[in-house]
Amino acid sequence: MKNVLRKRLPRFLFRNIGIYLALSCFIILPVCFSASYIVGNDSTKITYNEMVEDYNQEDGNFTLGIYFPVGSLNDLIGDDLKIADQCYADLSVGNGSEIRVFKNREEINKPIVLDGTIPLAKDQIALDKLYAEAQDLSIGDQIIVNNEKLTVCGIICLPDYVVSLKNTGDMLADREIFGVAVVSDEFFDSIEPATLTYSYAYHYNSRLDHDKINEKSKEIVEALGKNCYLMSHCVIADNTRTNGVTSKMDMNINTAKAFVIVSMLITAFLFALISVHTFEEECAFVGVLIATGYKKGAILRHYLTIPVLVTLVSSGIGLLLALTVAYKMPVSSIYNYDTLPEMKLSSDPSIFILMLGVPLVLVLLINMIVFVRKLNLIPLKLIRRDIKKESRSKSAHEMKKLGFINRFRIRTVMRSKGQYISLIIGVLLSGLLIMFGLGMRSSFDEYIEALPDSAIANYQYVLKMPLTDDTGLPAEVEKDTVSSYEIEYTNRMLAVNVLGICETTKYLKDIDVSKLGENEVIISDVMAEKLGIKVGDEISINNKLTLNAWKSTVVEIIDFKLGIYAFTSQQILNQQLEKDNGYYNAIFSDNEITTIDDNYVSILMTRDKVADSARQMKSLMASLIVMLTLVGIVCYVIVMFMLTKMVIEKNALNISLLKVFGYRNKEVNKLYLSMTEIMIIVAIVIFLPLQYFIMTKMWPNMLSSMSGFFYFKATPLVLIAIVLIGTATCLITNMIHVKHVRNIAMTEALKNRE
Amino acid sequence: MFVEVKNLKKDYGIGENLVHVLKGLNFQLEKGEICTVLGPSGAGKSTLLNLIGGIDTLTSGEILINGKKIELDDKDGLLDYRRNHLGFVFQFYNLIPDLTVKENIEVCEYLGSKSLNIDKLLSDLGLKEHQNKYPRQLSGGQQQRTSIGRALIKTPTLLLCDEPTGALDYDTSKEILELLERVNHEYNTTIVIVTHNEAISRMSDRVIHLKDGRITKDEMNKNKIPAKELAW
Repeated sequence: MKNVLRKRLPRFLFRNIGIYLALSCFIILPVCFSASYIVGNDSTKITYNEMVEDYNQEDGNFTLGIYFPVGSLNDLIGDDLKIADQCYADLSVGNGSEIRVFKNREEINKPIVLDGTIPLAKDQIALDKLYAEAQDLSIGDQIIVNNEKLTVCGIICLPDYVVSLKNTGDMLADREIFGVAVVSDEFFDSIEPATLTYSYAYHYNSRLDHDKINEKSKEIVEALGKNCYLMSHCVIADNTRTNGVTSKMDMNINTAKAFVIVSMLITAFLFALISVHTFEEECAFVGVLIATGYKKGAILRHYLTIPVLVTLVSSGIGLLLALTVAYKMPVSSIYNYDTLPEMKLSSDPSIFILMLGVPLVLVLLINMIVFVRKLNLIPLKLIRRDIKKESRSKSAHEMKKLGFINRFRIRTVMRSKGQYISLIIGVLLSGLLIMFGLGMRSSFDEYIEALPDSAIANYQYVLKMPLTDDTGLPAEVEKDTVSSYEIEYTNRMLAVNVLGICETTKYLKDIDVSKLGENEVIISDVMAEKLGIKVGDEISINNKLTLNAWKSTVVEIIDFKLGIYAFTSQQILNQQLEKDNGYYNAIFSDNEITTIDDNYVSILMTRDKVADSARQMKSLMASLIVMLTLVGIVCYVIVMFMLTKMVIEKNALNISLLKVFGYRNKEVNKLYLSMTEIMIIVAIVIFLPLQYFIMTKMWPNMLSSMSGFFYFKATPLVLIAIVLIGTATCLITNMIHVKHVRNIAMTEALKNRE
Repeated sequence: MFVEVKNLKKDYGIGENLVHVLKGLNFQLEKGEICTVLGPSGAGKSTLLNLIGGIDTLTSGEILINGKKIELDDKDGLLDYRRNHLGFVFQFYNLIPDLTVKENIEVCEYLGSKSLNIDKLLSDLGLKEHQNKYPRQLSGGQQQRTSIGRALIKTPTLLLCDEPTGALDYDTSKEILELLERVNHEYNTTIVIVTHNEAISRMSDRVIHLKDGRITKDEMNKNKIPAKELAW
């Protein structure tokens, strides 16, 4: 015979449908949200990595002042790598934009044809997907390039131009004004040779580790520098057209994981609460069942069935939504900026474990703890509903000065303290999610606003090589030395810019490097925060070109928001770089310098451009910001609605009795709802500093995959918004509960015979 | 002897709050007897019933059912006792709100190896026409009859009733008592009824008077009358 107890499960579920639907939403939303970000970003990352393998993304590239055949370059830099000619020309387009054209690539950085074909005839051109979209061009359309009419024959993406920056030093790719394309050999050969840039890509024949790559890069730079008019050299890890792609995804994944942890904590908490509530309601007949001979295991299984089913079905729905629809949102925000091959959705089995297994185990565990402990009570205690320890705290009736209403309210809170504590914790965690979302937005805004001010000068030039003649430079410019170093950070290498400041500095006067010894540095607060470095710590940094390791002690941490920077004197840095005393490669000026040949400039940064990357990052994270805030609000609603409902249900008999005694609904509300309202609003306000503290502690982990760092800032506006959202949610839920209280009948008290 | 209670003591609380609820009870019941335990509030009637039912721990002494000692530590033995030999009827019914009358009874039918025919039982209890109703749709008497049905379905050898008419009106109380009497006749079930209603003792074979945790009188009722003749 089937266990008849099972028959009550659907009825119980239906009777408590409001609570379980709310709980279900609480699981569906974060699972869907987190899974979509994790799956979307993971799949895009896999797609990117497959592209790197299948289309032979370069390991590095260099530009020469004159053309050298590939064969002779191999003779110079060894045959353990394959070199490909990737010369290009930047040509003007009829619509006012500029396009960088390449010949078809056969070996390295092979184009991925997303639609159409590679150009076969002289009048054909294949365009980068995002450039085509920005210019509203599709296959068959005509485009004027270099005064010649070409037909768009294909839409492509290039593995070395995922973000099509014109110069690697550019902060933002703007496809309205610049794009990349592949043309036929015939067309390319017809381009005026003077407009060509002699760029080459190389790919190692075997996989090399980080140190080997640095060693080999040094050899390449030395060999080409001596013999081939080397203009620039860039390894793929430093190539801004590709190196930000996966770190953005990692940041999204980290955020989604942190989010799901916070959400599952709330969910587990709510489940514990509902289980306690259910048990308190039903302990009498649980006691009867045990007294009648039911095994505790059977009762436990009975009470675990609904939580397990609700959790499994909800997380299943969340995951299904993520895998079918929701993943498109994070993916499209990546594909709006990065040109990548079409993504194939691939879900790692770990996502199923994380999204289905973790909530299930958590809910099982929480419920087991609640029920096993209570089921071990003797049946008599259960039948008599004597399942709580008697509170010996100072009774409310002893606080006579408080007056009846307040004493009653305190008594109510004490009676339902489990629910109230949960409500308060729920308010804390939901508010945390909103602060997470809104705070992320305001942090970006503050960062973007502050960045231009942190720029050292209006114009910052980093040179590829020393100027052959610098007599044309204006007198007021400052000439310093900058070099790229690396430091180990969370199992990977993080770039550190070391700035050697000249003695006569005018832009960096606040940084006193004059007294620094050879093994002493000053670092930016951003670097200190990101890496957790304190004054007196010893750091070890490796130069990417000389490969020399430099151990030094941090003597001061200064306020410098531009990024991860270490400072020393120009003389010391030049020594470290084995350069002469007069060497410099960074020029700072408040006015644009027109006398520097573009070929010498590796990076040109202006105050405006500085904020572009942060702005770009913010736009990529916009959907995440909105989602976090929305989910936070939903959490507020669910937590407040569910827990206040529980308090009312628990006190239904008392409310009914009060009505029998002649209390008006308004007076009942004053006793039960107003107290909840006050507690919620007070909790919202007093938790703000705690939420802020938690966020500032979590923030560095969120940004761990980002090469820079900026502080978490919740502006007063954000704080006010949190309080307003919370208060509005609280008032709306209370309005619903006023109706609920009104519906409690007086017969409730008379029906109940206990 | 079917039920043997030997020097049964039960204390609640510790230190200053220690209360001796049962102070050494001794009595025996024959199989098929109806026994009424009478006494004022606080005499220890319900405590005695709970100890016999194995749902509370005794402080000292012994309870033997059919020669077998009830020990809370012997979880399997206790489970077998509750499952196969014991029926409980409570003053406050404790029915499962999400199950119908029939299903509430089936909850215990599922446990018993020699269950009664549920349809016949429903008819006997006068619940046939209410079998698909939920507890909230029933009167107090109907709810109590359901709870008796739940206790009887697995044909217990010992039926413990804690104030079975305590929440019922006169007519319904009599109906319930007649039902218990019929059960006793038909199934030879030993029934212990705890009550403060002295009139009920007139339908039983044995009457035990409790006061302040001690048995003041343990007597056989020589003038037993049918339940329907009871009046109070």
